[in-house]
Amino acid sequence: MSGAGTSSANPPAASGSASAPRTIRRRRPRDGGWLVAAAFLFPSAVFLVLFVLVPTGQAFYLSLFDWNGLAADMNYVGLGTFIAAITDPRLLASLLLTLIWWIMHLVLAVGSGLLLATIIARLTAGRAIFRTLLFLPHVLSLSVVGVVWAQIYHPSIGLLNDILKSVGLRFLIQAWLGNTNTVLPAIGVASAWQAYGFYMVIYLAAIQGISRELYEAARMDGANVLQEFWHVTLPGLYNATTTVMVLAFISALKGFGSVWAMTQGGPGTSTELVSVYLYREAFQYGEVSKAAAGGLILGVIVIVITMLFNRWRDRGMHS
Amino acid sequence: MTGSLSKSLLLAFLIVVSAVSLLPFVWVTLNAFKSNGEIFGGSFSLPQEWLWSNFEIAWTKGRFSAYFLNSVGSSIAATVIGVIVACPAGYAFAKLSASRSQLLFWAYLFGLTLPVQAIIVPLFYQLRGYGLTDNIWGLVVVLVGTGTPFAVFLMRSFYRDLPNSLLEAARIDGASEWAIFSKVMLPLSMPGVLALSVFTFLTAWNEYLLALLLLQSEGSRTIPTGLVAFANADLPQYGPLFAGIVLAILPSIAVYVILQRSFTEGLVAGSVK
Repeated sequence: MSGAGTSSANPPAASGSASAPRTIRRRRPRDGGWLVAAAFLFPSAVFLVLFVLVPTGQAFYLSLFDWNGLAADMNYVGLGTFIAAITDPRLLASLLLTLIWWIMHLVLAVGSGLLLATIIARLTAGRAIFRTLLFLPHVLSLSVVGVVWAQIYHPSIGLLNDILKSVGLRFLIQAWLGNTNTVLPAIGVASAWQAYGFYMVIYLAAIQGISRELYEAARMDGANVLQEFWHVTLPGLYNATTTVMVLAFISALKGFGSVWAMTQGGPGTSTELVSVYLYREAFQYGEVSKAAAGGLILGVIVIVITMLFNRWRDRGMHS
Repeated sequence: MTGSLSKSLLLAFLIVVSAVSLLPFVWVTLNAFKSNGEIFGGSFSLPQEWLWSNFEIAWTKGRFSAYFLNSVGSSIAATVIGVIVACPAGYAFAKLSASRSQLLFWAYLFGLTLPVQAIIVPLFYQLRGYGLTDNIWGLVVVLVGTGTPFAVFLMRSFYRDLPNSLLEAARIDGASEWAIFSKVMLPLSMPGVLALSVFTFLTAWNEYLLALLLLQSEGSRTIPTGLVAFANADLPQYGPLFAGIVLAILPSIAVYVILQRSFTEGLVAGSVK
């Protein structure tokens, strides 16, 4: 609230210098000044302050202590908790796993989405039908997807083992979610099933935005389908791809829903994404302060990565 | 020319991929009507007798009726409040010069970029302090708060596209700022309001982490958390579990089929803008 009040108190004339001023702005009639703007912004700003900015401040506060969530007295330790968090091998392992998840998601979900989008874009009829059908899994929430796929991977009633049995691949049958070698790709496939339709729709829109003439020119030069894809389609998808990279990264954080529904981070810590680590640390192991500090570290990482990708995208737009 | 051959190959490929992708839906639906014995008997058979009772068990003993009510209530409330607070704020950012303050802009950009996972720990203790845990209103206010930066930026982009000449004409006629917003600009931004509503509703409907964090008592669970708890029960009854999955999936598919355009537009706008 105070943020909204003080910041919108700037006189209109001063704010013009902050961003590129347009001549129209100077001739505009009075728009009520900061009081009107503050009134328009106030309800939204209250929610932003209370449930985003205050908790962020609280996370800093909590991380200065060594609190287990129960004790009446909080023990001030300064930066000790931060150091404990940053040197916790489990936090580092969970960040690494989140990175691996991101790459897996790019290959499985984004890769399939891009492939399907390029194929559907070549169809002359039936585009809408395939778009609708293939998008369908994306309407489910990740936790519901987790429950569905936990049954598909079920050792005794699971669809996957039943399929393997019926095509003579009995030796592959196993408890997919109980084996540390198969559990991560198994959850990766489940999440990719939920997500590929979404990337497909983004890429389909981007492909349809590429000029027809470029394709005709490529064909005149005798380019084959692969050359056409490499030299015309891919460069035309630059902006969509930088956006998708960030979205795929966010999905590695959202992976909490499917992981918690399927394995709760296990077996052991083999599917402990950073979001799962934070939840377990705070609410199962009572390391509240450490989890608060870990959350701040995650926040900084995400903000830095998002800024890097946005810069990358802006550069692409100018060149 | 290999054109028509490769076209039919692509078509065949798409049909196979679609079939594989839809297979889980078929399997879940068939299992929802089977007895436990049939489910353990293998995946590739039709139910001998279509057991509608599985749905009844999920709805009553599985408490899906309560989960359903909590999900519908919290999603509608989060959508209505989220859209109502975001529209005037998005308008102010787009059209009112006093809102062009850098500090305010950065506060919203920070909220947009910060993942909610980073602040779940303080959020839980804060909400518990307000007495809003195990209460769907706790989930609602947090959903509105964490969603408002995106909602405001989305509405801002819709208002920015509306011509300033409309605004200036209304001002010359002596209309108040609130009248200009509510009578002139808001009606013109209805496509944006619809896309934002669909997006916000789906986000709330699908929310898992915050619901798990804030709604731990059985009676306050939503469909996502209730379904997961039901699936991870010590002695799962598989028929009712699959029926529960169908109950959880059905509303999302219904919304998708009815509002297909706003649905994908809402989602894509939600991520690209």
